[in-house]
Amino acid sequence: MGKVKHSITLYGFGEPYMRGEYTFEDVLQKAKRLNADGIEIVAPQMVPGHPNPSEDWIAYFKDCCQKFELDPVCYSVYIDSGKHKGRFLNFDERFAETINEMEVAKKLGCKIVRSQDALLPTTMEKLLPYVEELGLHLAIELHGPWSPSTPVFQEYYELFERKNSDAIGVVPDFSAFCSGAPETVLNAFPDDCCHKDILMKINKLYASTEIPEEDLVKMILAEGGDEVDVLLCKKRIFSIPRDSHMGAIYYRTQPDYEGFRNMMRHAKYVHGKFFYVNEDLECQGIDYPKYVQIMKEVGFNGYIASEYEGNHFDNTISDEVQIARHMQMLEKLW
Amino acid sequence: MKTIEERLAVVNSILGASDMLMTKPLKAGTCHNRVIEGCCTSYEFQIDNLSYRGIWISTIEDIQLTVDGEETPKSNLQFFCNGVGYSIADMVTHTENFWGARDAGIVRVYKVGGLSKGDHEFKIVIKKRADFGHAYGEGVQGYDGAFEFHTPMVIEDSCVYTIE
Repeated sequence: MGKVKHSITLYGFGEPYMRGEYTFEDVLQKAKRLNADGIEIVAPQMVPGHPNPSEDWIAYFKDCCQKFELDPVCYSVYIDSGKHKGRFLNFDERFAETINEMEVAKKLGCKIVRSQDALLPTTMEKLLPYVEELGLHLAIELHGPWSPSTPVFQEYYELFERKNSDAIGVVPDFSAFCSGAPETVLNAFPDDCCHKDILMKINKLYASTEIPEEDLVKMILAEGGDEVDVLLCKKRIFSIPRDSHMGAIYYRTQPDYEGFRNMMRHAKYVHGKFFYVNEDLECQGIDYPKYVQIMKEVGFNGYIASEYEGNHFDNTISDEVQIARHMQMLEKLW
Repeated sequence: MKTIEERLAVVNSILGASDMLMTKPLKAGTCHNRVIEGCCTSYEFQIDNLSYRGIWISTIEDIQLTVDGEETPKSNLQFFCNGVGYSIADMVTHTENFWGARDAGIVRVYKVGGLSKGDHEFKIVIKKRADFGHAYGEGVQGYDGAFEFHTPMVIEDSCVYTIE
């Protein structure tokens, strides 16, 4: 379409798909209509029969990609450590199950397999010859609340440096690089239940300054807010605890820009996570101008996935409009 | 503007809603009596998937069902997925069955004669471990610290089903 190779993660259409409002072909048609070059599919979400889809479904998927002229870029898989009550997966299970997922990805024509940090570097090292045999790129997603300096990622970098192979790497996800909440963060709350003007001002201050949380709370009260605003601020605007559950967004006033730059040496694919892009093509809370600049400086030429997750804040906003704006924003910034 | 108490009630109800569930567990319009050759041994309804993706049925630790104010004995419940039925207590041991994102999850309740015609109030409480998380280790090693797998998420839903 333009300067950027655009992937759309079909996860962005996951909510209506799960409710049965979109068929799989509807989802692909929407991706095509948005002028995506390629797609990412979350295996346990949209692959019937996962983790062992039928050969018929595999043929159907390939036909669909051909029909809609979409490159099947990335196959997203998980390390389901919660599967067995009382224990994690063991090494052999992580190893064998990831090979199974990679074989499915290969059959589907996907080039990148996105896994999770719980795969662990030791397993990834043993998998490397199998990744190379299949001609794939196996990458670990860095997702919030983790950051580039999280210890397990340091271990992964050590592996990447030691092996110096294009077959393994990382997928940076911008949930790990957020400075603050999106401008839609309070959309689910009626206007007459809080002082949104005060809270949105606090939201900007939280993302752009080091003013302590207790002082921001005092500021809310001084400006005419009350305990309802304080509750909302603590629950939605201030960051979740750093050791919170997987997938949570951890807001940092100064996200780790240098960590992102270093990480890009091992990245062939980027998750352009976002929650809201406004009419002016701005994405409050994620510093896209800076990240795009870094990607350009390091010569990144892989796909950037538009990964819409704004439905968590407001599910009345059009997913298609948001994804289109995100792609336009990337083109404008590149 | 409403009183603080009224506003807190609104805010807390929105904050309390799970933001990762993409569906409503009790699936509308799915409850019916199972009639075999004119005999009825049970009724069934469907629950929608409990995550933004498919899940392992072994992560479901408990299902409690209350119909018209009366708790259904656990021994009368079975959960069916991909054509196989499990007692609720046994689900955690079945790590071979993946409940796909749009596959039907069926709760069968054994009750002679099923439900009478008309409206019935259903309440369900499901306890579920996370399928995945950041915590890691080898087998049991380090598992004590994996808090996301020790405290199941509690998913509650209620609805009225009508038996025609």
